[in-house]
Amino acid sequence: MQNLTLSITQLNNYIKNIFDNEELLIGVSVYGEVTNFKISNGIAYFDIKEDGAQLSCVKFSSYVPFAKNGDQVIVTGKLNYHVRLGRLSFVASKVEPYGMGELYKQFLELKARLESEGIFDESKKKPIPKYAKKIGVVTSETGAVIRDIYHVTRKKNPFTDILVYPAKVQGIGAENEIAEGIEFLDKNSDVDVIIVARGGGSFEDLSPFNTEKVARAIFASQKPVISAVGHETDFSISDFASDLRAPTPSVAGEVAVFDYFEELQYLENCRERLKRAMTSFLEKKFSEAQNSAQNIAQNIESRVKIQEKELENRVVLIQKAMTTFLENENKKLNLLVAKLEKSNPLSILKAGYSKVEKKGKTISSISQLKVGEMIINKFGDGEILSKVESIKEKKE
Amino acid sequence: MNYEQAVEELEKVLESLESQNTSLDEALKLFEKSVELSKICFDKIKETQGKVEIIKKELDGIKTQEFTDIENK
Repeated sequence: MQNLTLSITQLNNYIKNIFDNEELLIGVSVYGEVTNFKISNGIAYFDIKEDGAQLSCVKFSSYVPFAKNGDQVIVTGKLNYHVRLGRLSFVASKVEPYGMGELYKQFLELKARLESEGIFDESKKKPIPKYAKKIGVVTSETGAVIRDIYHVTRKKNPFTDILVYPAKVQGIGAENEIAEGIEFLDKNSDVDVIIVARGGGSFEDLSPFNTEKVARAIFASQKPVISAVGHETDFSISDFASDLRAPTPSVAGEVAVFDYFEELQYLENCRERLKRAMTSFLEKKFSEAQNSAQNIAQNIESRVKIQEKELENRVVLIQKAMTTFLENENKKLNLLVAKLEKSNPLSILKAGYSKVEKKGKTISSISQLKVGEMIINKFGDGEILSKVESIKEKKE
Repeated sequence: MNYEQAVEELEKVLESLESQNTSLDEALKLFEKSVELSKICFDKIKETQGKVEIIKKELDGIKTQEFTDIENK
């Protein structure tokens, strides 16, 4: 065994190197109960302990208490051996509640109580307006949250009005400011929807959103409230009490506003639909009118044809009637002619009779004649001159 | 009538116009109504100006002022 004599610095540096290079210790988490918690100049000093063991911890950039004595926590970080002081401490990068810490127990108790009161009832939740004109936001006026909400909403709808109620979102009194903000925005008649938001943080950081005060302010709000607290994996009492839980503040901004450009496009489409509907309606009516005009025309045409046919039939009937009539007349005429033929004096003459005339006068009686007078006997084929020799009167 | 109501009404009128189950008179009335509704919708959607304001608590009361800082954040 080599006997070495080292300076303290040399030894401490040697020890520091051992810890720094031990891979198992990089990013290690360790759990225990918090004790000796204090904050000084933005640095939190505390110990975590369990039966028979204790570890000194330090957390930089700590301006507000994130734990208190008695809390069960899980601390993530790395071991650091302080060369100058010759002390070992655990430099925490993250402190989270471990198991059923006191705060977590309180959280569960409050949640159960409010739930039994009906504060989280689905039936009590108000719908988020589809077309909000003004959104109210309760959050810190500095930091990423308001900026994220602003940019997300601007991108989707640059014309939505935004009213910010600046509030402390962690530390003592934060819950009062948050509740006041909700009440204030609820009373503002222009605000259509309220967003209560906070970025990610430890369970303690988010604790104002796990208070009865904030839960009741959200529940009492007449305006719908969207709660967006922490990261997607964080659930807070305000989430349960709200009308809508958004996994992140950006998502809250996204759901609170309507897409202006999409809506404008929709309205343009409506105009197009209107034009199309009206045009096709008129075209339909026009073609209906055309069809009925055609029907009327066809109707008239077929009627004319029927009448023409009827007329033709009548003409034929008339012609037939005329023919029959003429034939009958002809027959009658022939009969008449035959009759006439019979009564023709010439026909009588042909039968052996002659007509007697004296000085051009027809003689029908012997009383018109004297013996010795000259008479003419007219026959069918000529005449003779005769002299009356004697006159004998017919005896009855 | 707010934007949502106007859009709902417009959609209804459009649907009955598109169904073509109306008389010419009725269709002309619907057409006029939908033109009017679409104008209301356009007007309503353009009503807001995208104002960003912040509440300031001052000694003499609560004030609303333009939140200009946010643009630069």
